[in-house]
Amino acid sequence: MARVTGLSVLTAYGHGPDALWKGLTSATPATSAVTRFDTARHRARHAATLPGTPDLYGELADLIGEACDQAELSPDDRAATPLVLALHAGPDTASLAVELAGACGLREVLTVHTAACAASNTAVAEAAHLVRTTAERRAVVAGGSFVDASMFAAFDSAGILAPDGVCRPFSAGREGPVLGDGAAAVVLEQTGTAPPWATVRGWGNAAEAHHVCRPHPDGRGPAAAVTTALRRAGVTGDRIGYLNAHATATPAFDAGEAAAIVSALSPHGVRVPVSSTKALHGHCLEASGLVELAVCALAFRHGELPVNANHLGPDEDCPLDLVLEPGRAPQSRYALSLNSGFGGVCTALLLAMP
Amino acid sequence: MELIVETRAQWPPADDPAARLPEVPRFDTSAFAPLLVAVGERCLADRYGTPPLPPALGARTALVLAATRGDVVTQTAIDDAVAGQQQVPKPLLFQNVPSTALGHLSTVWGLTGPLVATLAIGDPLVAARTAAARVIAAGDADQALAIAADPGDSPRSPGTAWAHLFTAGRR
Repeated sequence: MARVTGLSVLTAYGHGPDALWKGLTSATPATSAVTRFDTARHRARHAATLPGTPDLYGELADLIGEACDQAELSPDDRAATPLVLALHAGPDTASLAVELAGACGLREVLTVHTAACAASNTAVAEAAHLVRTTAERRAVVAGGSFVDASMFAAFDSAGILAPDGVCRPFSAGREGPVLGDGAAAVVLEQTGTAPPWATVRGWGNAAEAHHVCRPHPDGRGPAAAVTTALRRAGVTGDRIGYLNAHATATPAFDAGEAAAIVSALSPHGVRVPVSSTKALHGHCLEASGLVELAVCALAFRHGELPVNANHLGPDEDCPLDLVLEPGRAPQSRYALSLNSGFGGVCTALLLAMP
Repeated sequence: MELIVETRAQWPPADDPAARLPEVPRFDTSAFAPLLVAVGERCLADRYGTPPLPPALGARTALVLAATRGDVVTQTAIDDAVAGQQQVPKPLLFQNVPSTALGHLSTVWGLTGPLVATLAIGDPLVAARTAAARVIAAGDADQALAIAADPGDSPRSPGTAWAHLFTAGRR
């Protein structure tokens, strides 16, 4: 078992799970006009950002500390616990990661995952594997991505961002994502004393092997990841009560992911409640999987699924049961969380709720 | 977990240290992706000749990377464009992500097993081997192409990379 006994999160809605839940249930995107840097030359002008310019490693240290406190880890426990990270691959990221582990009193950094939007899910999968199948009693996973001028300019130049600042996953008329600040940390344990938020029961990772930055229309990559996650968890598709999608509101990627959900969970795929909460907290890139793990855990704790916001109307390429109204309850205690990244890396986490 | 090395390669090649990296379509700003692709191609070609792998084998082949750092050249090109109030060239967005180069290899060779991109903490060869062992031990692949890289900081000095095709030995 890989129980999530500590969970901390920071998004544009503010600090902590409560702020995130309040934002999700407001169904109001955390998006605003960017003031962190000048966007006058760009086609897009909006992002889901925190005030000011937060320090990524300082925030991660705080989040790791909070997650460890919540899991009731003593200093000795922390000194025996490894750290797995999900971060953008910069010139000095490896050395900063080592400093972060030291500052948090953790044993060592095992791995820094860098596969863009799939980085957090692969980091959680590594930690779950360690906790379930090796002598590691626990592992901390953390990741973060804060919107900066270079990231924003590169996305904008590629023509990917929604020009109107509204992310509409799976919707007719969708035009792309809105970037978002995000950082989170979780503690995964074999046992633990703290009541768990969730258990990581399965995971899957597959390369789509179709194109470096375009999806296959039949969604074969995410479908393979979902199939592996289900098999590992020993759970069938009819038992999935919620699916938090990668969907960034990119026309082709959303359609491919919808095809994957329909086929991998067939014949139940069209009936599983689905939402992409990137419409609300923004696209947090390397932090996506951890932020959305927190979203899934909060949804099940509160017994209410987060909406797929900003939906204008159905798209025949996305024949899904989208969560369009608040107040809908999960249909079971199992959730899937999908995220995919450049290079065709496709990932799925299967979470079981207490 | 014990691993068996089926085949290995390095860049630059031991017998041609001045070799020029083959060009990779859509990756023309930095040598980061061409370095990874060149060493991966040599390793796979040594074992399998020409791409792609049969689908059943490709589905059981993982692709893992442990690099000492990210693509510094592409990141600098983006930062410089922003500082100079210039348009960022469109391909730099995806070039700046390490998994994209791996995606090129997976597409050409039909590798549909797990794809894992990491930064190495310490020796990249050890980190790449560890990542390969993990995906094989998890049952998600029967073999792994593990690329370790120490990328350079300019297109003229692309750096060094090693590739090993690992299979499971005794568990």
